[in-house]
Amino acid sequence: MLRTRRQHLVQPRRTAPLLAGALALAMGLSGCGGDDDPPSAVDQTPPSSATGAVSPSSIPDPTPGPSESTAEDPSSSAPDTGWNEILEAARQEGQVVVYSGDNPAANDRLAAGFAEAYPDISIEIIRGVQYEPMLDQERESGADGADLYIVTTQAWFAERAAEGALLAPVGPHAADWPSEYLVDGAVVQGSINPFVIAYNTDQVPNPPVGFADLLDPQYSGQLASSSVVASVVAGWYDWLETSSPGYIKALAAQQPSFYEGSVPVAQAVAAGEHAIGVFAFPGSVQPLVDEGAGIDYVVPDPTVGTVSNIAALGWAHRPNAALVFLDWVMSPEGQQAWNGVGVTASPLEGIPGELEVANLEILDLLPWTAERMEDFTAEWGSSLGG
Amino acid sequence: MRQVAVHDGSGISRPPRSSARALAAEARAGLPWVVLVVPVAFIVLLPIARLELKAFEDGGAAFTRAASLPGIGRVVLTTVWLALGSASIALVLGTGLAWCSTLLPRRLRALTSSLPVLPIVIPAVAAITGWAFLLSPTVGYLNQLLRRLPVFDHLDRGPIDVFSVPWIIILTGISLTALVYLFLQSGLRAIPADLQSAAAVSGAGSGRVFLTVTLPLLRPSLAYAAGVALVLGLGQFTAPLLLGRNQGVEVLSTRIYRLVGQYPIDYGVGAALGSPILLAGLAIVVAQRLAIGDQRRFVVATSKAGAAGDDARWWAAAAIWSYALVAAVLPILALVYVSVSPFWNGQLTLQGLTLDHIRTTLSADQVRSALANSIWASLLAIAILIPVGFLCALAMLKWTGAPRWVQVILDLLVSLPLAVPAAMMGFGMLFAYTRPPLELYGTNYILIVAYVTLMLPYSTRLQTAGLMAIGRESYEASAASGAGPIRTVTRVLLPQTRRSAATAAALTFVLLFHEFSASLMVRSVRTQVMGTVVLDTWTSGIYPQVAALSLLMAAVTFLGVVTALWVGGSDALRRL
Repeated sequence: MLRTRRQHLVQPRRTAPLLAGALALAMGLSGCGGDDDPPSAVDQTPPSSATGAVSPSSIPDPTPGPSESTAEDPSSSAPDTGWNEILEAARQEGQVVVYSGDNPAANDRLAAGFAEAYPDISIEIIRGVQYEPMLDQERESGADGADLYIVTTQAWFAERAAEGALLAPVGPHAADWPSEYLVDGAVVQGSINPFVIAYNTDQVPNPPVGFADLLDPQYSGQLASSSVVASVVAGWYDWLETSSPGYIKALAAQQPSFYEGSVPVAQAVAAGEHAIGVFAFPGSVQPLVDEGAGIDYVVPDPTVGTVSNIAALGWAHRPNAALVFLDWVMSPEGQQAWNGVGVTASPLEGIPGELEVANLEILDLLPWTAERMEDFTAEWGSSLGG
Repeated sequence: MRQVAVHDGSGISRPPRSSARALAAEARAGLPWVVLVVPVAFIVLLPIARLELKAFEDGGAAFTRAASLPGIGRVVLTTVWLALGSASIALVLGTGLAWCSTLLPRRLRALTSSLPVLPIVIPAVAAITGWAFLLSPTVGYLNQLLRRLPVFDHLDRGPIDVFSVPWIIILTGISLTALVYLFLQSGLRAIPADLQSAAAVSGAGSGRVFLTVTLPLLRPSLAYAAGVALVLGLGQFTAPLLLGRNQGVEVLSTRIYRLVGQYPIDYGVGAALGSPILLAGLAIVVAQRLAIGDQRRFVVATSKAGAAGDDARWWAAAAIWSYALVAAVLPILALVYVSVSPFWNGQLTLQGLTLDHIRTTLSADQVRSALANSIWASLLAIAILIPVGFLCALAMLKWTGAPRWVQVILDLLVSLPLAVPAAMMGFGMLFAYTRPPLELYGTNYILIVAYVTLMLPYSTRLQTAGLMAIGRESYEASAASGAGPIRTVTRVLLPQTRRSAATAAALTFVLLFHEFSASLMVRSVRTQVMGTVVLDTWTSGIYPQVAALSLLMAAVTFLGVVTALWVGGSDALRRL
């Protein structure tokens, strides 16, 4: 969850986002409460001058400004069109804050790549599991928090999109983005992760080939899995149960230990505390492999995958910087940074170094609303780590 | 403070009786104190009162919802076990260690008798992560060592499973032992040594002396320590939160914390869940008061007390050293080793050690801002706490002449945060301060208000001790010489209490820097303190970084304690 942050030399000054209002129309934005409403709708056409990657300005505008402690009302200035104006506004904002549920190595790659592309916009990626309540709290109280959110959860994004509370991507790379990986006009599916099984190479000479193997008596007491901390976990357990009725009970009978998410599971398996990590992604395992830990993973047959969704938040304090980051993520360079190390796949074609995931079924997490999560936890919580 | 008084020989000024005008005069005399009482009442009562009101909304619908939560019976049972179990362990161990400290050879006494306090220096969240590395069932370092013993070598896991209820109770008990020991030490020093010598001379062994002479005299301290240990055990948060996830172990306070992870937060259910803890805490504090009366009687230590020193036993010193080793040194060693490992593994090897994780941790922006937040919020809170605590202490002393109603109200208000577990207090503050009139969420001010509320009892108590040590003679001499109350305070009392105020400041800083439970409830993603960053890294991040963070916390606290000792002298910690 720790990430590096590139400093930039200019005191950021918060100025009104010039294009936010235009985007508001694209999303059918209405007032979302709080002081930082984006301005109301203005007709917007994608900037016709948008071409390829945006070259970063090398000399930042040395305008000193007061350090912000309250948000400036973004609706205070007239909306404008043109990607360059957004870029300029983003540079004046000078910072972008992302909350991310993705694994730390991926977040580091994103931060490093963006900092290299836009050295005058300092990036802060904060890693945590299930930030939706915090985001809702920030939105309600107007606190200075996230500008973008990366997470596998889908239902929360769908609800915000329906309220018109997300910003549509309008950068030059939005035009080339495959439409099947853009949901509700604002949620970008930026990275594809297959579920795998992690195993400790010292303790498991013959790794399992599928989830069904994990019910074998030889693995009793040796499994590490995730408790139901997010909809991705619930959806995955539900898929296991649907594919193989009785699976959850049988898994619980193996007396697994429960952690919050795939990263601590991988850490515990690498340490040798457990032999098998049931809930795992390549992105959580590979950094440990690279360190020389005794861990590896198999892609089970059958398996499913999930996508990491990213969206710019309508109540962000730095909406222009958010749009710039979003656009960078949708660019080949951004996709290369995110998905170019062989642990995830990219929605874009031809990204070098991406994982091959042909015909991977993606879990539909849209039905996993808060209510459904509650019901699931009520039914299975006691078997799955409380 | 009034000039008119009736002296009945007790040295205490009483108002003239049986006169409505006199009562009105007393009410008027108390008016200046209202300036103190109202803000203190506001910050202490607002969180809890609003929360309890929420619980009883709609005829107590929240209680029904809380009672129907899945598995809530088991949660309540675990809470009770944790409270009783950890308090018992702490009392037994603490009393045993206190007894050992009376049997120390004179040469070792000064150093060795302070050793059991060492675990207090290490923040709970840091110590627990150290214990997890030591006692993880498969690769915990201690477990691996134990499995080399013939009696355990047939096992491939364990024998100790730190993620289980018994061990959560044991670890909590071990950390509470230090506090119990501290309270008993103060009591021991007040016991005249000649009583024990007389018993020994009459032929009683050291054990019998302790059981029949010392222990009964320690009853007030024991009652006080038992009360504190029970309340802390009830609200125990850190150990169950960090260690409970693996096997689904939950207590009421962690269940309340889970509510904060949902939006909108069901404050009613949280309040309903916390009400039993609140009631139990209040009952314990009341019982404590009844058992020992006005505890201020026991603050002043005047006799030449302590063991005679002739009755030294080497095993007493060994026992204390063993406790310090197990409770403090071992977790720190585990943290140091894991922090320089490339990844957490159970092998103790010197190969491949790296400073990379420490470097990453120290340079991470979020760590630096959390560290800055912790320090800044603690210092600001202390800047408020010292004067307010001083004024409260002043008001509650009988000889400063504050009206009785002021004394009673302040006494209640100042004791209340002690009865409420910090996690509950934090939850109440989250509720109170995320809506009008004071919307503080997402700012550091919510941290500062939380810290001031939680530490008010300690600040007041520490400064009461200091004021009582000065004695009322200076105060009355000054008043007799014609100085008004303000002048007396500023010219006479303040200069003499400088040292106790400085000690109070340093110790409060240590306690605040450790603070975890309330901070966790009121934090937002971008206003973190060290403890909350450690937790986040523990649950979803990289273990060597957890170890590095925990060590950083312990190091800063150690500096704080050293400062407290340097400023306040070697007996500073006992004033807690």
